[in-house]
Amino acid sequence: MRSQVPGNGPGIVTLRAVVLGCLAVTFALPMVAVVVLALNPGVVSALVGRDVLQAAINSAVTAGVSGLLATLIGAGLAVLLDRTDVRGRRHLRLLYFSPFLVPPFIGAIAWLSLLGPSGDITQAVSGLVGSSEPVFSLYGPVGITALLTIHSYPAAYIIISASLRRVPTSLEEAARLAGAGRLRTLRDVTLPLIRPALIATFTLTAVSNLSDFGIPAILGLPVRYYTLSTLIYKYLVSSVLDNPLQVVAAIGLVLLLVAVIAVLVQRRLSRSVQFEADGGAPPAIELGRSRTPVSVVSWAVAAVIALFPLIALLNQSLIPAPGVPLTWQTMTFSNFTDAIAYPGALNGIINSVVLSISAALICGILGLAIGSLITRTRSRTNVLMDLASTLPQSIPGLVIGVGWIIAGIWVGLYNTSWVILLAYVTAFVAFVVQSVRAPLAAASDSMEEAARISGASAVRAMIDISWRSALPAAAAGALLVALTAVRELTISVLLAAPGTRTLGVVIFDLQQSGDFSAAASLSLLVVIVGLLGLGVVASRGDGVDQSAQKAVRSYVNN
Amino acid sequence: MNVTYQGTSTGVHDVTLEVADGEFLALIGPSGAGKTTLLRAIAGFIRPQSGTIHIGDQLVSGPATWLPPERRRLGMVFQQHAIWPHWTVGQNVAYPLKLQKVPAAERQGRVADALATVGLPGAEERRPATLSSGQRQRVALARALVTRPAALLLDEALSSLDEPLRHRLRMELKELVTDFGLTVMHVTHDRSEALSLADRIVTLNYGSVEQVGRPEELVANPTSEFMATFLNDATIVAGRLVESADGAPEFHTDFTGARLPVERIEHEQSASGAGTLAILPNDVRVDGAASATTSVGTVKSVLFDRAGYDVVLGYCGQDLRIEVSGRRPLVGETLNVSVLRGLFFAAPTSADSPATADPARPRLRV
Repeated sequence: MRSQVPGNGPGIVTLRAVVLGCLAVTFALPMVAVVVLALNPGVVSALVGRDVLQAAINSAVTAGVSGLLATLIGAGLAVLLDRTDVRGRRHLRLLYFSPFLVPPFIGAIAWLSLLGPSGDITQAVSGLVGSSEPVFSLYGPVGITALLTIHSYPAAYIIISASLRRVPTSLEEAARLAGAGRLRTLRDVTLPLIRPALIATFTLTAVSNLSDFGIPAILGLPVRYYTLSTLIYKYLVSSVLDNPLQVVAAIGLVLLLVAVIAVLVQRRLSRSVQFEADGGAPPAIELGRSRTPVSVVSWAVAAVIALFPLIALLNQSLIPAPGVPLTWQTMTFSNFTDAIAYPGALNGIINSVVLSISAALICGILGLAIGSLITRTRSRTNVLMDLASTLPQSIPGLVIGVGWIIAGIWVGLYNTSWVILLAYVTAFVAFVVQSVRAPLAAASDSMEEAARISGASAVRAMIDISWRSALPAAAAGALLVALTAVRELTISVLLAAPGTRTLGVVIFDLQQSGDFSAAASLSLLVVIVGLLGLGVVASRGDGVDQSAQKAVRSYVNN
Repeated sequence: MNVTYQGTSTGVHDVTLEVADGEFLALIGPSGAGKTTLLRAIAGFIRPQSGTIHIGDQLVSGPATWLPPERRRLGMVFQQHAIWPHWTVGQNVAYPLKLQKVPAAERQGRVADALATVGLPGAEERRPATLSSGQRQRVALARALVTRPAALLLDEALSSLDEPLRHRLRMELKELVTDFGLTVMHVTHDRSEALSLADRIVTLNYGSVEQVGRPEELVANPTSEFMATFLNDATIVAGRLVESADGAPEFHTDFTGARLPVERIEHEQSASGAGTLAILPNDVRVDGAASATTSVGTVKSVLFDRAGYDVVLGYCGQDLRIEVSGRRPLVGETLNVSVLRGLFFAAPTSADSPATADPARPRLRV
């Protein structure tokens, strides 16, 4: 007798057909659009042009170096925060994690107001050395690399920390019994065991930095330093090319291939070392006499990284013009009112709120359906659904944006809010799928089987048992979609038309047009809303630490 | 209940079973033997390629018939209890009634009754997370019984519990089943559980039935080498059965080539040829004086057991597993061993190793 799952009944078949139809629109359509337009004979010459090659080199350098730095910092933090007795580990962890909660382009705006040519720190240092010219500036490759590092090391830390936790304690204990000290054990046993995770982390952060738009746009465009992602933007908004869409699609296809290769590499690596059981928490490495100095330095660095951007934004939004010192006399709230009054600003806020809530609702329902189908039923289309829903989180946002420009033109939705909404669903449905996948997969088959035996049909069992128990996870995933979408820049900047600009695009335009104070005021609002949102997620139970980790896991897809 | 399978692919093949009303049937076998597959086919989670399954007079699975699990009127308890964590105990137990559209008022009473039956009266409002593993399994049992099913299927239902709780639930289950006259099919990998609970035991190996019988029969008269080892921890000696001068069969081991002193050899058909001799631990005596039918064995290891001592003897070049009561034997001590009975099983005629399932493998009877 062959094991054979009896027919799931018409209900499941219908559900699967509907979900596949949705994914055909959200995933297949934009990807096909990119490929169709990219595979154009005239494109190769444009692709090997000097501009594109230079931008590719710039991208590789900034992404590669920042990926490496982020991995090193992440590994260092994982050991420091998870394995030593440094003081106040819990709060230190939150501070070090904070750059993840700030959208990269807003981080760039904030640091620029400190370290830009007219930034407060630059001015102070220039004054100290007696130079009338700014002695350094965040514009250019070094600044871009630094900012990419700051915004990607938290994710690196979370991945490495998770893999560190998966190392069975018994392996380390065996090394201790064999005569190795704690540090020796760390070096000889623990770190070699997580080497595949380190390589995977580097791949992931490098590729995600490669596709970042906000940081190279804000720190590169003013000095004409282009990466592939900003070059795409430049081609699309200026008319330097006759066939911008085709060239852009070709660049997008290259980025897409790099992303797919990275995903494959990463999957392979994560399969190479499998530990059977979760290790418990091993005893902390005692820092001994260096405990206090190490703690002081760790806290100082954390404070700079977490608080300086916030202070900078606050400062920038309270002064009348960049470079003016903040005093009780100069302090003004007019930047906030100006920012709101800026043409399109209020509209942008409303657009973003409406779009992000709609995207969250759609992603919540679709993600729950996809998650339950791929975990609770067996079908050949499961792999397809899995890929179509979760691959986009490894695909650069720009590629999704470009895909929807083309697809939007095809279906006649270009320049409407609908196309932005569709692109958000493409990009973010993975958050919900990843969020519901774990609880759904962890629930044993017998949960639904018990319902079947009790008299429920296949669909009824799925809805009554699996959906209901995965509902909190779906809601958390949807909230994450909303929080991400409301401050999204990369996709929106490509798809926004004058009437459909989003909050991120408004801030970006303000910054580009030199209205730094207004940009900072809106940025501050975005950061505060983001922190409050995270507070809501955190208050739903398991603490900021875990919800932050969940967030990252959804972002970086193990 | 009547189950018939044909088919030769992996899983279960050629099983014919009839379970009487009110019978407690245990399905045992090593892991991978197909016992859970068989149970899940009866439940309706797996569709057999061929054969038929009847529940009562109703055909639920056949070449042209297929009833999904929800329409088979069965109750089932799973190993991991499968209590739905998002509902209270009462909601869990009421769910099957709700699907049967039993009115709310009646539902309440029946849920209360079912919970009282399993020893959890008044637990309706409790959350599953607050229950112990034993209590969860009781809730699962209440949920399975609340609709008064045609049969109760237990899939390793007690296996996730720790002793002695497991033992207590075993007793309660038996009592409940007897009181209500339930028909039960119980899958377990625990031999002693099957022996203590079941009216009849079906032993599966490589997807087919090895032996069916009352617990007493299975213990006293295993019908194959597998049954002798799986259920009785018999010692298996390879050798040949030859006819002796006085006409009684003798067994010569391959290891020494010499005759193994056994008082009585039970065998089927061929009184000679290659095969194995199974010696059950209970069929060996070590307390007698030396005689013509005894031989000397040396104690190699001694494990304490509730019934006495579980001893391994070095005996005629073999490791012989026996059970001894009374004084604790000492390691290295020599004992006079008399083997009262040996069960001879002729070697398979085909060259197949017993590891591959071969439907043509001869079944030997003692």
